[in-house]
Amino acid sequence: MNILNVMTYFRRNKSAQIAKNRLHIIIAQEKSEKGSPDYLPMLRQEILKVVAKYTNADMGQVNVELHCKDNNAILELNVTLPDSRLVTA
Amino acid sequence: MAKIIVVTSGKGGVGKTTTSGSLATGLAMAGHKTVVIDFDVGLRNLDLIMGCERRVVYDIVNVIHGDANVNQALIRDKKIPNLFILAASQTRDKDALEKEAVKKLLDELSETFDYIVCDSPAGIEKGALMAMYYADVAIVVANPEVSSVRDSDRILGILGSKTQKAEMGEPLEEYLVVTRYAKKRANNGEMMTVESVQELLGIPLLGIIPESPSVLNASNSGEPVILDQKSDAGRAYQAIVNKFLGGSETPKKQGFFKRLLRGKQEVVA
Repeated sequence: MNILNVMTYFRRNKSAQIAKNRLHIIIAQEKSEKGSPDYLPMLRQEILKVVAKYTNADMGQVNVELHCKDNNAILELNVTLPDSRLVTA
Repeated sequence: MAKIIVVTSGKGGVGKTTTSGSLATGLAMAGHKTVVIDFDVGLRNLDLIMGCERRVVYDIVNVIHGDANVNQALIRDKKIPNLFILAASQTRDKDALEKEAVKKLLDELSETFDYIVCDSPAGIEKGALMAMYYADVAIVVANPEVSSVRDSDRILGILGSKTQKAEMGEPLEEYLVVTRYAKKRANNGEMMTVESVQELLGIPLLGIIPESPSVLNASNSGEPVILDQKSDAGRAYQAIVNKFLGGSETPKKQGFFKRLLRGKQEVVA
């Protein structure tokens, strides 16, 4: 019972850290998207759909990023595929 | 040449007008001739915070349209010499402001004032863009809360691209003011700390205003909270003014009253 109390105490008081982490991610994302083409969110959505159609990868583990360097734009797609042996087993 | 300060935030209700009013009052009390302009055309509130709502005759749109000259529209503060208010129009919308007209108004005010404080409306629409365009200094007001911090980051992006300074490649001074801060809750981990907010936004901290009943008391009675030097929020605003003016000069209560008296004598003489 005591341990549970301590746990809930810590859990209740963690929200500031959660806020900070969420802001870190969203602010970084918004910065990277600044000046990127309007179609990027839709492109990302469709790529995710295609990935989902052929694999059972976790959609949270798919990263689509557009990097601009000098005159080149690089579309980076990062998919973590689940271990096939685990899936079949 | 006056220094033009914009008080902005992106999100509404975080304390832009409260901060504008107290900052302008503090600058004037320190002996600088200061005007505070409400850019929130259509939703004016600075006049209420400054307690001069019944003395508004002409507003910023009247001046821009040439219906009145600047001196007719400036409202002299009843208590603080050196302090003037320019109200926003209540009947027009924000599109009534144009870059050239705002420049003309600010140039004219620059001739006689030391500081021009521009109270920006919330949002990133035209009113906010006009309030910040000619600024030399930006004060970003944020609450330690997710939506406010995100919007402040957005505003910093806009300050870095859509101001005259940014367009000319000159640096714009940017400072953070965190308002409605509850130190206890931050220590408990229930509220983001000032350090977290500052780290996320990446600009120097000018000051922290604690969550305080005195802010509502002050707005209820139409007196900028900085005049309530007994309150924590009032003293925090005074500290911001002192830091802004670049000194560790501690507020002298006597100095304020002396200045008040001096102001009255000037009027009599």
